[in-house]
Amino acid sequence: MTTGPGRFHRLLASVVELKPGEEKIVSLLFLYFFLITAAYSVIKSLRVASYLESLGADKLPLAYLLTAVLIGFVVALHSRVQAIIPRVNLIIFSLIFFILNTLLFWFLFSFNWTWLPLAYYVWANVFLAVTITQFWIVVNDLFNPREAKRLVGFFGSGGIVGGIFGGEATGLLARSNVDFGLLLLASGFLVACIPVVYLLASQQKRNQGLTPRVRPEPAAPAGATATVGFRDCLKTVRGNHYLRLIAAGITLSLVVSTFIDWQFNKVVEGASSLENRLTSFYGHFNAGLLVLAFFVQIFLTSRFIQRFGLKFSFLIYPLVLVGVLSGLVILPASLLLALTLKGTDKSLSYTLNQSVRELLYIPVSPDIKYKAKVFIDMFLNRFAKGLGAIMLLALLSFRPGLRLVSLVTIFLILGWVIINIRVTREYSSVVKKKLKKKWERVDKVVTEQVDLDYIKLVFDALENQSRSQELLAMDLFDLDRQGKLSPELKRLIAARSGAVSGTSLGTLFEEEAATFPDWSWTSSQESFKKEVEEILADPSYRELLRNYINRVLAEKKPGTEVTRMEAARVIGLMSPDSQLAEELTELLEDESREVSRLAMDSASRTGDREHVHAIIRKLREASTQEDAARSLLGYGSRIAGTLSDYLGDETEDLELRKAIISVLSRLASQEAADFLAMELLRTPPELDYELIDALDRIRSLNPEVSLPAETVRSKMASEVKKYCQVFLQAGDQTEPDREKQLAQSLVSIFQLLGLIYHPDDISRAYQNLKTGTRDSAAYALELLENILVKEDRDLLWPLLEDLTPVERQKKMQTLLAGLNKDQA
Amino acid sequence: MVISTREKNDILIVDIEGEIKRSDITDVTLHQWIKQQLERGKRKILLNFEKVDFIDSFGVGEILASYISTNNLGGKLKLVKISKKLFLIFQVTMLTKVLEIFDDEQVALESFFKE
Repeated sequence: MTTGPGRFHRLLASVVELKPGEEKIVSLLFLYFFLITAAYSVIKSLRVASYLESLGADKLPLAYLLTAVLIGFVVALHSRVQAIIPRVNLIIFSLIFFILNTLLFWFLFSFNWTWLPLAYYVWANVFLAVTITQFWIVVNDLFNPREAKRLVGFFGSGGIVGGIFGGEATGLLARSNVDFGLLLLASGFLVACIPVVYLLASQQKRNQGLTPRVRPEPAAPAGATATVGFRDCLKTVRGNHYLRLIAAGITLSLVVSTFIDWQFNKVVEGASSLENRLTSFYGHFNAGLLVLAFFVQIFLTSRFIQRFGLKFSFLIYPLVLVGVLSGLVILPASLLLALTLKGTDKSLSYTLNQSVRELLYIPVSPDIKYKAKVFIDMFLNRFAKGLGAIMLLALLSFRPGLRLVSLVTIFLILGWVIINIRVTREYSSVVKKKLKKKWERVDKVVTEQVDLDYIKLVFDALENQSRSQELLAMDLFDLDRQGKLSPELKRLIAARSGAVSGTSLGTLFEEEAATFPDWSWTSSQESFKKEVEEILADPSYRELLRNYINRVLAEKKPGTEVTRMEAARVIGLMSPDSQLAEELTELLEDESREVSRLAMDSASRTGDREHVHAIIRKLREASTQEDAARSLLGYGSRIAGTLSDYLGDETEDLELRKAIISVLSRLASQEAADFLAMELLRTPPELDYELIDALDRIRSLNPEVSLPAETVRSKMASEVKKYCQVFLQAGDQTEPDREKQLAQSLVSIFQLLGLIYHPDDISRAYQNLKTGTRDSAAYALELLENILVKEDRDLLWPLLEDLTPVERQKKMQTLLAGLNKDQA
Repeated sequence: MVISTREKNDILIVDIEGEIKRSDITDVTLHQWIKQQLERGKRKILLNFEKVDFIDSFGVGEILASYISTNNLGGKLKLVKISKKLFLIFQVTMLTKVLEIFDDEQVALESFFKE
């Protein structure tokens, strides 16, 4: 008996797409984020209030400057510590450090030192940067991209709820204008964080067995620790194109945010309806924003990212801002527009944009990810806000109107959009790097490294030593003519030449036949070749040869096989205009496979198309199939049409048609691919796998070949339909047969995908889905999600997604119904 | 050509006896036989040539075709105990650049798990 998911799981599953066993981890993450943002809310409200009361707003730039300097040191320190101690310990130590600091500030504030609020202000900023960065590092440790996409909406909302809770708690509990007793509340939140972090680590250990997901960085090599610091982090970001793009996007987004903030305040400042109610307005507006952000995060973020992918999700935020800003450029400035602008900025920035941004780090390799994250999240964030302020001040010095500032902001956003597009493109490459290629199609490697014609000639020459000196001479002449008679081969044949006389074929490869006399090679090879060519071209010789061949064929009797072999072989040495190719007709049909094989070889050498049909017929038999295929390949692409006629002939034998598909695939030309693609929708299902495999082979041998996407997609739909039918018809056949059919069908589906997408991407995804770990299968899906167009994704997702059997069955039924409807 | 098989740690050891040549083919070629094994799910194949007396150009084609079919499916096909002279010919024809050839069966078997 199996037990269903518990009540807690069912409760969470109503707001987040949970897999069994994930409820504890997401709840703990939610709580972790809740506690640190609740603590920060308390700390933040005291930060501003205490600073303004003691030092005044005029001294705020000093706090900004000191924060920027100190953050640089924090980045360096954090990176060094991160490199030497396990992550979970680092987080716990940090929390203890901040708890002690909070208590210290609570104690010191009783002395009313004037400059203490400055130290507190800077410390609060460091606290925020460190704890939030560490939270997202834990997320990166815990999840692969697929899991993070599903769950980020839920645990991310913990931060927003924490912000609301901390803010409200501060409002309700504050007993004076600046109540430092609230620091005890903040430290309480942080103390509660410690067991949550421990539980997260132990929960992960349980789920992963011996491989904890909250794992320490690999031990740094001796001496490496010393180099990990601010500069090293900066160098890491600068040296990585993808991280540079992320950093540039974040910088621009923060500059834009600064510009938007100014525009909002400008409109609010001029709104007569808000006179004397500004404080209350901001309070209500900020609370409303957080509530809006919470709903966006918990109900929309994950669903949106899953449905539309990272690419589109990452563009939503800037594009919506462009839309609202365009309103500010075109229409008269109004409070409604300003509220829409600020509301859009804050609600999407904390939710969709933040979530997508964090997801972008997940596939980056750990050795650089954490250095980059610490640098970008802690330092660059501050730097970008400062840069935004400087740029705004520079712009305001020209006394521009609101419209002009909005227009400049739109231009900045357009730059940011371009960067976001490039980041998401690059994301696919980063995901791809996570996927190990487990095997390659070796057709191309073998074709490039092995010369099969040469091998055949060498083996023939060695065999012919004991068979006929004439055949041997012809082989050697052929090898020499093709420039393939290497010194090693000469030595090998020379050695054999002495050894094989009088021995049987059986001893050809035996060790005991190893004492060979030297067979000195002729020194005047060039003149020898020239003389032979002259003789072969001589009309009288050709006539003489024709008579000889006719006589050989007329005297056909047992024991004359070698003579006929010589006749078949010599015709291949003649030039195509020799007219001797017609003598091959009878030799092609010779009862001896050797004679027939040499005749096929000579036919393709002379290029006489008269014999093509006879050779094609030889594809029927296993014993002559490969020789016939090689002979047909010798004709090249010009016989692709003839081959396709046979392939399209429904009355022809199925095995012959399969062999023709194989020959066309080995031709690997565009023409051959076109003929095969044409047959994709016409041939019977029995030829499907051969046809699809042949096209896949052509693409691996000749990546330049292109195929009609519409035809391929149509075939893919049929193949997916076939897959769904087999999957849903459980019980109609034995389980191994069903599994075999499903596996074969999936291979074909991916091979078809490889015909319209980059084959390397598709084979990586397939191999990792089939044989990879849970994480590499997730990365494979992530790659596919980012490279496939929606039409293909919709077709394949029910087959590939990580679903429960019931969910898969439902999705496949829906898909099958849709496919049946389309085909009807 | 006579084929018999053994299996060790998921590796199919194919003991071939006799000659692999064009004129001796009856109903199934070596490549066709290997394809049948691949269809049955075998992915690690070791061809034992200890009792192979002779290979002609057809036989080499069959070995290469078997190698391609196996590797294209993510499998591995290796050779063991080919005669020294045949190995020399494989070297001259660069076949050793593609095919993995071993002297000792145990070493060959272990090599499947080293990758």
